[in-house]
Amino acid sequence: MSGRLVADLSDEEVIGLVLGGDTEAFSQLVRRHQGRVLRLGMSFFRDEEEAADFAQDVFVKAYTALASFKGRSKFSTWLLRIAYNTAINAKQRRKDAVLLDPEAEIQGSPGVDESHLREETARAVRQAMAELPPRQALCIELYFYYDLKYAEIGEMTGFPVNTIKSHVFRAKKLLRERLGEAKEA
Amino acid sequence: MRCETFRNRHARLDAGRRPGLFARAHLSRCAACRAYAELEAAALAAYRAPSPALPGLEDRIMAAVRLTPRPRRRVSLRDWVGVGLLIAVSTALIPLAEEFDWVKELFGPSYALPLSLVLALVLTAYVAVFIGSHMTELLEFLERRLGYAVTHRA
Repeated sequence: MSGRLVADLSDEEVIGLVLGGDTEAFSQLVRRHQGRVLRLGMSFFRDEEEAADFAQDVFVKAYTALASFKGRSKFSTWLLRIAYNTAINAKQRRKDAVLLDPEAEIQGSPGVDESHLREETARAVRQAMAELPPRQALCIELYFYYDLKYAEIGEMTGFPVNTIKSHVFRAKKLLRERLGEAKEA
Repeated sequence: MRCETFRNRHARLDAGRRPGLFARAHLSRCAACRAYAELEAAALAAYRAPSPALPGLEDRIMAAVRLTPRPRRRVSLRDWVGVGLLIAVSTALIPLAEEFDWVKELFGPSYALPLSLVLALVLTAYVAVFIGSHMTELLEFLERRLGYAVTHRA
């Protein structure tokens, strides 16, 4: 199947191809999701090279376990769960404190307005995360950046949904204040 | 609905969920809240804009993937347990079957012990294959339950 056609397929269809023996089709999943995995790696490791090693590790694990993906959640959520567990385990193995850097991201060049909104949101997220222990702080990033539902975040991190809700609520209030300030300025 | 109530409810809204009926009614009447909801949506969209990938990362990942054994479709856990139960029940029932009496008459009572041993061996082999083919899940389960990594990197 040509690259053009694989690009048009859904994640689940691409997985079907990979399980059918087309290893190269997996590159489509890498292309689609590497940014999110890399960002999570940057949040945890704060180093581009370590984040790249982490992304490689996560995708190899996902490839190995691909047959166990049953489609009960989105592939991106399933992949993120692998990434989250890999990061937590790597941090625990190294006996590092789980520190998160919500500002961490790869260099980009968004437009001026978009850049401004992004900056204000990042500030609100950072402020909300700073008030929490690192693992709980990640819940905010999982909601704000990764667009996960409360239940999915709860399943991934093990925190009760109501705890996550109250953290997100606090972060949204901070965002509202920031956006209000930005508007008045 | 007051604006403050709407904004608090809006802040509690789950990802991908639409506001409730009253909130939507408020939104249609209140230009300020509508503007805020749009601004917040734009801020989140900007924040979620995908980060550009690291150059060469895809090639590096694919090189590692090509060295990894191919994933294979696995038999579901339900099927494994179903077949296992079938073997266990059959093993328990075979000595009660009429044919078993016929075998005993033909070959004598000493035949029962080796046959039972063979059946037990089949069951043991099945359980061993099941555990062996589910080591990854077992390790992941232990990681989740015990809260630390039981896998080791080479």
